[in-house]
Amino acid sequence: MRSWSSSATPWQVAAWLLFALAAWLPLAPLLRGFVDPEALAFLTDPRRLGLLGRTLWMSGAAAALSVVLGATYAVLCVRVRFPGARLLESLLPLPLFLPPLLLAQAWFGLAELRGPWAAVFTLGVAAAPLPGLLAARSLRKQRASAHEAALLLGPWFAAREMLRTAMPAALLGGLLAFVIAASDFAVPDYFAVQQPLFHVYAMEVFGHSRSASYAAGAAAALPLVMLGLIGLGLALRLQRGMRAAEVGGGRAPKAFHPRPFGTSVATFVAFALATLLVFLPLGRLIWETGNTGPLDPRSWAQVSADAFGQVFERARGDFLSSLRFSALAALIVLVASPFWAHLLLRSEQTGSRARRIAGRVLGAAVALPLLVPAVALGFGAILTLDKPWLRFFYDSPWLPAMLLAGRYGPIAIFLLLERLRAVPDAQEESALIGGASYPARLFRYRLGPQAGGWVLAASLVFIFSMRELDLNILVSPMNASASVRYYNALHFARDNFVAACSLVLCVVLWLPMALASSWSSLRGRTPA
Amino acid sequence: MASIGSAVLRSGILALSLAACAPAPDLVVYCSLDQEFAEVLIAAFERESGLRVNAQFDVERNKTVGMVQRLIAERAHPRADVFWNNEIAQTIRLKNLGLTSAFSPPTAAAIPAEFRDAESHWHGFAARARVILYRTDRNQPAPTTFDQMLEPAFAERGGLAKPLTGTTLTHFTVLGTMRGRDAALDWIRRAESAGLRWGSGNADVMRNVARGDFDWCMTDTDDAAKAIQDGHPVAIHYLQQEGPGSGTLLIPNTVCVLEGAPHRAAAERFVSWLLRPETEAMLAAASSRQIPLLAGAEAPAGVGIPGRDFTTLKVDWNAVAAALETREQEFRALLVQ
Amino acid sequence: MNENAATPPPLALAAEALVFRRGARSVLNRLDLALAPGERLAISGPSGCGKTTLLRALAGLETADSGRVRIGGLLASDGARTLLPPWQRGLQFVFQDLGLWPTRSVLQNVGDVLRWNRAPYPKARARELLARVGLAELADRAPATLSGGEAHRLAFARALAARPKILLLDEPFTSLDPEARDEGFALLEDALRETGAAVILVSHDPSETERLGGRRMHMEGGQLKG
Repeated sequence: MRSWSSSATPWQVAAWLLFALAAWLPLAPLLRGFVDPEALAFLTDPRRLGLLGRTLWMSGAAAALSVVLGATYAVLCVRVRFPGARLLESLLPLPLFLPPLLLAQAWFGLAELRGPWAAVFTLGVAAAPLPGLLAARSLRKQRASAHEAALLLGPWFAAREMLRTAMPAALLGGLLAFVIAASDFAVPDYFAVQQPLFHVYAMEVFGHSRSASYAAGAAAALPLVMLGLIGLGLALRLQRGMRAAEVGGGRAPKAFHPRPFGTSVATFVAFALATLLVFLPLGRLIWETGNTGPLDPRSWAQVSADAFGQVFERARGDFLSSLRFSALAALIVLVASPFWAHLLLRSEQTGSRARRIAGRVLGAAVALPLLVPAVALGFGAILTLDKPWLRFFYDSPWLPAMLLAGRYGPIAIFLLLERLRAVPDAQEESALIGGASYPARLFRYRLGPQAGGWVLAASLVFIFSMRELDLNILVSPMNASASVRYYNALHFARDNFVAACSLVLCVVLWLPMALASSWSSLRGRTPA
Repeated sequence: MASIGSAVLRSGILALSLAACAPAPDLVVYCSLDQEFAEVLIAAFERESGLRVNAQFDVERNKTVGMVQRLIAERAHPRADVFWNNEIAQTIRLKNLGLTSAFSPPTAAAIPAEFRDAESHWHGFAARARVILYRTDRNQPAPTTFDQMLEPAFAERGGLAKPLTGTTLTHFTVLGTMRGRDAALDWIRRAESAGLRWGSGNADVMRNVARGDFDWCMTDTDDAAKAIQDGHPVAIHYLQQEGPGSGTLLIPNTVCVLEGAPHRAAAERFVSWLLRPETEAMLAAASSRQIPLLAGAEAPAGVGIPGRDFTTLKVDWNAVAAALETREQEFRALLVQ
Repeated sequence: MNENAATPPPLALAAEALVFRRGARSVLNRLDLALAPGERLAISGPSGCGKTTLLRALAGLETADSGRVRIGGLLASDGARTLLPPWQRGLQFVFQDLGLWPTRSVLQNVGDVLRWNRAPYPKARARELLARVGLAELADRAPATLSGGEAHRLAFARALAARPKILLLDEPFTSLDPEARDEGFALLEDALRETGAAVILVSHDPSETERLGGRRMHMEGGQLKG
């Protein structure tokens, strides 16, 4: 593969220039915050260390819960045959489409949860689809014969082997859940009503981001960024385990068909989990669309119909705008992330130690846009790109798309890195010998067998882009967006409107995924 | 290779179609008022003036600071012409940073002096009052003075938003300027030990009262009006109407023309249009029940009128704006533990 | 009359009128098979003729449309009903792609089987087994890092660790070079002598079926002949 670099260079350079423009350039003004002496003060102040400690345990507990819920859900839906398994699996992404704060309100309304454990529960439930989706994909990649060899020793052994296969992927999703939970202060703040109050470190980052010095916000974020990088290091180690677990392709194991009692138990557990993750929060939101006080003369149906009417009347343009930016971001990631991931893969496979270290540094740099607060990226975009001679670009939809691709692209890169690792080098090498161009080798032969993972990675970028709020407030063309619309309404207590808005958002995002999944199953293919 | 080429081509066509640009606006307004009301007014202005307005909205999850910080970040190349803020302290902060410019609209004299800048950099209108919202079905008294909130009989049944953002931060900063910094910090400490509950925002504590979790809360009139309109058994009253330092805190919307505004003439036209009794009457009639400040503005029943329904607390807004950032850090150090 | 003398010893494995359809195609067409304890049976046939499906149905990994499978005289499956699950049939399977557990080391691949079968000193015995197949030095490696011959030896070691009564081999030597194939057969011979297990080997290569010794059959049209 020595000739790889010469034919790949122009493509790689172009792709990495794009990443530098979309992600690294906006971060440049804030990097000085990281070397600010004040940044060190954040690591020595006992109050802030206390907040950091609470962030660590709360996010860790939320991530652990998301892994337990998500992985169990995935195992049941993918590997146990029971009525409705396919439908339940298609519902799994739904909690990802809802802002965690909305889930917090729904759960408070349902069960009057309060305190730090309520925040842990909500953040865990909100992020459960991440380990769930990744574990489901991993389970489908388990070699049938390995599963069957285990089955010859007994069902528990087979179950254990199955968990071993799913766990690295689920833990990777859990780490993503950890990063998301650690940067969320709205949910803990929502549940911190009674004494003793509790807060998390992200509140400190938010407070400092409001200071006149942008560097102060970056300095405050440094400990969270460091936690994220440690998590990333762990994730990459786990990914190596995942590669081993998914070696080869071949048949996927058949779903297990338990005896009638087992089927009943599996059905019950799966529906109970779906109730927890999907039906109860969504049910509460449906109820919330028409919820009003006892003195309001209007009926529930009237209030609900009004709320949905307002969504279609006022928020239609914002939805379309968000969909446009997010689709564009996902498209950029879909095209560019294989190049980004391939370079990281090559740096791992090189014989030179210096290059391997450089590869690791590059990996950390790639993760940075995801780990810094979104406001930092937004301010950075203003400071670096808002120039008179760049107006044509700054005011175009390309800026939001690129910033979103830069911020959430790292998720796709690290997922794809693993997908690319799972394909034997020989596939690409034989294409090289056959005279295939670099893009053909990369997309058709290396990525072709992993198309499901590729699409899943871009889909996650799309979903997170739809959820983005902070960038949307700061960057001009992004302001007219679904998230600004419903968070603005949420603040002004238009709860019927917000509930209707979030339900419409769920349907808009879920329907294409469900249809694609049904289409795949009709054609006999396993979905991503 | 042909199929990869055609796929790239198709992706390019799709991307270009997704990325179609909107035409350039005649006026750019940054706004932190409730989007539902603001865009109705802006649409009315567009109809009347024939100008195309690009309105950018804030989210109070970021407590208006998003837009303020954005304006500071954009100061080298200003993009916005007008900042329409739903509170006052951050507007004064922008003025102190040199980001606003003087403009005196025709109706300036009709605005009470305490709600307009002496140098005409900003003007206040359509205010919110800080009030007590309480349940009418509990037959339990609600506090009538600020300090009464700390009494055990009240504290354990009610709450207010944490004074870290928004109008509650402004309120506690006002408290600090009137009673002194230590008194404000001490109030928060005593609130903690009294068992007073803290919400994450004014709308959240309003929801707590509407649901019946709290018997009362301190909130803004627009949130209180929402609870009443939604048919919850709640009512409001104004705090501390007699004695020294008495009065209800009014926090107005403020509007200013920004320094270096790219569309200065349109900005002045918009500010003049906004600062009219008719516009205030529209905001008073809207469900947020904003309190008119301009002389001659009409307000429907249910909207409190300063001087008639309550006494307005006299505030040195410049001192409040100057102290805001320091107080916020101190409150945060106390509450975010 | 001595009842024991009159009753023939139960077959290690029997299939009666086994039918397995994939869509409209009959992969197994009323197939009958009997295997005595310790017997060796080699089944040849072209690729795709249903050899693997037969082994999987015997192991309980596939459910036949009709017909019965008996293991040691016990009814293991009757049509689509599974009466004895795979793990209760006392058999082991060497898959064509080996089915090694990729998340476990070489030692754990064998040790897990011993531990699961409640064998005493599983780790020491696993090391002993690995030494016998020449993999002692590679005990801590991941299966993915083994060569083809090494991976095959590990698969055999793992299958034999359970001391099965029946061993099902699905083209186990197909991808090996002649030297590794010789090693594999020698290993199999030793193991069969030691355990006395009955074995069914399926392969499309007549030289392999010939080399196993014992009975030879040919699969055609979903039935066994010869």
